[in-house]
Amino acid sequence: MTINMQKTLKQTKTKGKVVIDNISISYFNRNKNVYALRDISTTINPGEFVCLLGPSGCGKSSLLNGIAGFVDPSKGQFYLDDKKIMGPRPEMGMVFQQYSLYPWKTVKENIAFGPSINNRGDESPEKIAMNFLEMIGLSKYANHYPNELSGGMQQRVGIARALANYPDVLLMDEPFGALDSQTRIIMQENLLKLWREFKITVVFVTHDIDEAVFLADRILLMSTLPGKIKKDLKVDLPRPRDKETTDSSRFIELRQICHSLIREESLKAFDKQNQL
Amino acid sequence: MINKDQIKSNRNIKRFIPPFMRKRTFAYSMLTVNILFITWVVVTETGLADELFLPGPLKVWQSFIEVSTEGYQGNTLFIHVFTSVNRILAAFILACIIGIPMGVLMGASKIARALLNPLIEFYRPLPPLGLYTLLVMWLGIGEESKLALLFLAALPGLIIATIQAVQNIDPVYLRVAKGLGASKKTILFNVYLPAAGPTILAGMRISLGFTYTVLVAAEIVAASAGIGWMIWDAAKFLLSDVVIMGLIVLGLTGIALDIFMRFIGRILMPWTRYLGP
Repeated sequence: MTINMQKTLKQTKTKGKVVIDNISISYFNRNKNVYALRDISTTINPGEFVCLLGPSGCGKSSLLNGIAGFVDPSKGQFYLDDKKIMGPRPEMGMVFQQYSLYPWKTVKENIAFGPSINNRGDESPEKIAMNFLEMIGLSKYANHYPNELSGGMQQRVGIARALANYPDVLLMDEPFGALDSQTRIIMQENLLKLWREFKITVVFVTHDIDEAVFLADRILLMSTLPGKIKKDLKVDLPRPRDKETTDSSRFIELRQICHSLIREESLKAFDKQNQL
Repeated sequence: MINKDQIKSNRNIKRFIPPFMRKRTFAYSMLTVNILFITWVVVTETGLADELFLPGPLKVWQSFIEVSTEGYQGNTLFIHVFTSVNRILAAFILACIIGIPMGVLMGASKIARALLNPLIEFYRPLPPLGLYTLLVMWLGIGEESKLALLFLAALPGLIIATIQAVQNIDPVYLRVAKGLGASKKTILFNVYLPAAGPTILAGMRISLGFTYTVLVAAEIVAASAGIGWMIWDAAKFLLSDVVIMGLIVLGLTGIALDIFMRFIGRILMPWTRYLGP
């Protein structure tokens, strides 16, 4: 890692606080106002790894898109480091589900895209891209196009692209959802390594309980229709976490808690859908 | 020992050859062409077809040599082809310069689309000859009206393809750019144009084909050169060999231009050369 990067990391340590203040997000469907989220409030601290966990349709992606500034809340306000979030900001990096790399740019150009927009002067975008490629172990593929890479490799590039902008907050929308379970576990371990190095805030959306428990400092368990935070669960597993973490009794215990809460929600959502 | 670099450069050249030529299907296409040709020979040699209306390949070939060397009505075949291809390319390039930005604008903005749509939608279904009479009244019988007709023929296909291309861009690509803090200009050149590129190219190819279809109409009035005019003029004297030769030459230039456009596309959009793993 270069000196410049370490400098940036120290600066970002105190930044990246996300405040979710009494947020409701609704949309119109068949002339009815449907709430995706209702009256949600919480604070995500700098450097914290928070997972939004819930069954599909609980509004966890809406919440993430709200934080990212892609969706305007119908009520309430998002804050990033005490400033109102009025739209997408380069201080927040987003990793999408899949296929979000530009197929017309090489792997290196994809990662260099952010730095070339927010030119910080010290280092050329290419240099930054190459550093990140080395970090994710894909230097060999610098001049390949994304569709020549496997899904897991593409998503590593997606994460590198978001990080290359040196964001304070990393927002991740089910980034490993399309990967096979083996790749997924390796990606999770790699992500934790990067997170430890960058010490940035991560908000991670998933419906996979194991994934949430393995990754998070805190899990926000969401309920459905309308989406609310059902439980704010602290994950007190020691770090660094690895394969053995998943065998520990505390891990299994936490998984069990999440499991029963989610099941309740899924059943509720299922019944509601049947009534409609 | 075989030179490794040579192999590599051969492979590089191969990448630029349109994929259709590399495929077995190309051989099948050639089969159809050959069958057509043989049918033509048989039909003319056996006297099944009246030579006045369908001369044999040999006669057409002779007229090709004749027009190439001695010319038709004062101009050689090369001049005729050159004049026509020049007209087509001038009109087509102008249509691209105006149509593609217009299409991007119309694809990205609902208001622009609503404002500009009537302009193209109205004249698009009009028959070129009908339109041409008006253009001649307005612009005279010189080059201007010819270019205008070719231009108007090229434009709608380009615009419609570009609108489609822009509207079909995955919104996630735009979100990525906005999330990274990209300006509108950056988004235009880094997202809109490359994402829409392949569809725009397809639109350009269709549009060029359509421009060809109005060439004869455009060269009917007051032309003294041009392959369209040559065909039209030869038909008046029942010179069917010149007509057929002209059509074949015209078709071949069209195919050549299409291959050229695909070639340019593969250079401008190198990522389309690489398919998934």
